[in-house]
Amino acid sequence: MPDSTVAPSAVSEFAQALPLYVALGCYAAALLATFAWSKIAVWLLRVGAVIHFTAMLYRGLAIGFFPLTNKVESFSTAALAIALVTAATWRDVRCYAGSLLALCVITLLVALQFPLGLSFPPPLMRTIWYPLHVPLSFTAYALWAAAAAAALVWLRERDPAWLLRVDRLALQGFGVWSVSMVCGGIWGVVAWGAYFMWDVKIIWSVILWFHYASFIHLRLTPSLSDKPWVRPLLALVGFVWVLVAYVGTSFFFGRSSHAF
Amino acid sequence: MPSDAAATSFEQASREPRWAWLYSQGLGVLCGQLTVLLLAVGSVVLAATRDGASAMIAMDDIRGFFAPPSAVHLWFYLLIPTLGLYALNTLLATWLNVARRWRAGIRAWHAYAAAVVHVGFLLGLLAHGVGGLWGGAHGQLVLGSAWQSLDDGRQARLVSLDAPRLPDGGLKQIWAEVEVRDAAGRQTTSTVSYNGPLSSGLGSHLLLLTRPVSLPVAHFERAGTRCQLEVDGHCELARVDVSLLYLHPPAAGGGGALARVRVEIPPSHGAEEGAEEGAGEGAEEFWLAERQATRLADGSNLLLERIERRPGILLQRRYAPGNPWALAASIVMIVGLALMWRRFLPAERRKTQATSTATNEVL
Repeated sequence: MPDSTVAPSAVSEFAQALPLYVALGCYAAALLATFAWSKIAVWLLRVGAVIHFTAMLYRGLAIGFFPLTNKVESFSTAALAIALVTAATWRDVRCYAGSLLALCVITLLVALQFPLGLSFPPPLMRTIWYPLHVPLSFTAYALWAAAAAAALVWLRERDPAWLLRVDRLALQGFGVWSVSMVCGGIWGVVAWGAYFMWDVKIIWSVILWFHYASFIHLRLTPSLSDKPWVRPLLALVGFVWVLVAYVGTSFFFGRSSHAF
Repeated sequence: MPSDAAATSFEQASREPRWAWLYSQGLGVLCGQLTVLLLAVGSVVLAATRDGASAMIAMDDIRGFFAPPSAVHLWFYLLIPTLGLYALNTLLATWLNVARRWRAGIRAWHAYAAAVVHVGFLLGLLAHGVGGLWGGAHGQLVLGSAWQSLDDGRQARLVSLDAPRLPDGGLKQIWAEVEVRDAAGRQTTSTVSYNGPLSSGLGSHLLLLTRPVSLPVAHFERAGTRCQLEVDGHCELARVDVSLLYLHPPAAGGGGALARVRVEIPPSHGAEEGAEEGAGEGAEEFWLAERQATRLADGSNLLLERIERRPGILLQRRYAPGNPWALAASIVMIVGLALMWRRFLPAERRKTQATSTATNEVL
């Protein structure tokens, strides 16, 4: 989707961005706290997520729509999804919490590299299917990132509990992604007349679905029962696919029906 | 003991039919990962050959991969048997799994959740095949205030058009109120917008809003009767059938516009009008300038009073037979996922859930 016109606002661009910078500071402090004072890390994360959510809510109210109309809001919402999933699945394990918080900080930092002005959504975005499809997609991305982080912990500790966590997070991501694809498909039908197109972003969405669909069957495959490392490995590969689907297709594949 | 386990496993293996690999989990995982690989290659190929070998591939169409066949689409030609094998594997595995559970007396709905999701997947594959082979765009249609015939046998006309603006002057949305009537004459009203096409057949016939347009309307007068016509429209003026074939220049109203008009005068019409018996019967075509009258063969005058512009909408016709199947796939898949909700919970919560359910049952 192309960016729409910039909405006039009495509040300066800096004031709009300030809560996002504060949230970024909280996430960065939480990341540092996982190394030194892990007990307060989760609280810093929660405070950052509340500020971040409030900042996005303000942007939404200013444009009268879900705040997902340009790249800054796309990356910011992705970072918020990672923060919320990290808080919801919190484990006081540096490798797990630290890697997710690092991802959250990087994603929000990327968001702040784009122009921070507000944009009105173009007419094609004005449907209930859009604010259902995109946030669900980002939630699935965040769950799969958490599955990859859990896979890293398993590779270090070989604790079966973390293997179960990898399985569950991957399955949760798959369920959310499936619902997101259904919403996106319905939006595609009402906007373009087709639920699927040979478009790189959509192809990569299907790739993610197939990857995690086969992933959740690995546990049930008898020939792989003595190879528990396969699932963490594919969880990490899946996260690379997530990065290609989200960032790669928007920036490195040229034309797409999805601008972000 | 390991030797016992090995013996059991050997026994089980020897009891398995020779085609057991067709419904094995391993084959399913292999097909899934092969699909991932082929689609990943395909995404790069499509992006690289968008203006070349892949130029004919649009929307969800799969015929473009064969028009003409090309070596760069080898990934797609391999994808077809891979997905075919995947579908067969899923179908057999699901069937056998459901049969086994049913025979074992398992009646809980959630025990069949995965099977329901698998059925959704198979319906999804079917949707891609049907839509990709038979779907397509079928030109455009301009809808104005006159009734227009639609592809599905109904007729539609534009009743009102609203284009609310954003505070910065940009377009917020288009709301076009459209009246639709079926062959039996039953009328319904629908609202067409950028995310609200006019659809029928569970989304298989779609009219998608492209943009609002300004439609020229010609006002005719003959023997004290008047009618207004859009291009391709026709009306009856005192029993003479008048059709507007063309407007030149079609996009400009006002002075200088020319209308190509066809007039059909029925037999014995002249007698009723008081003219010479049978005079002027038949059809004639001619150009008519704005505010100009012409004398018809029956001796009466046809006047093009003026041409004005009225709002209309340009719609894209699309036939998408895969949509109903995709809708069915979506519903089935969501139902399947909803049935397996327990599996999404953390293990500790699942235990609590099971304990409380058991307690409730005891109570």
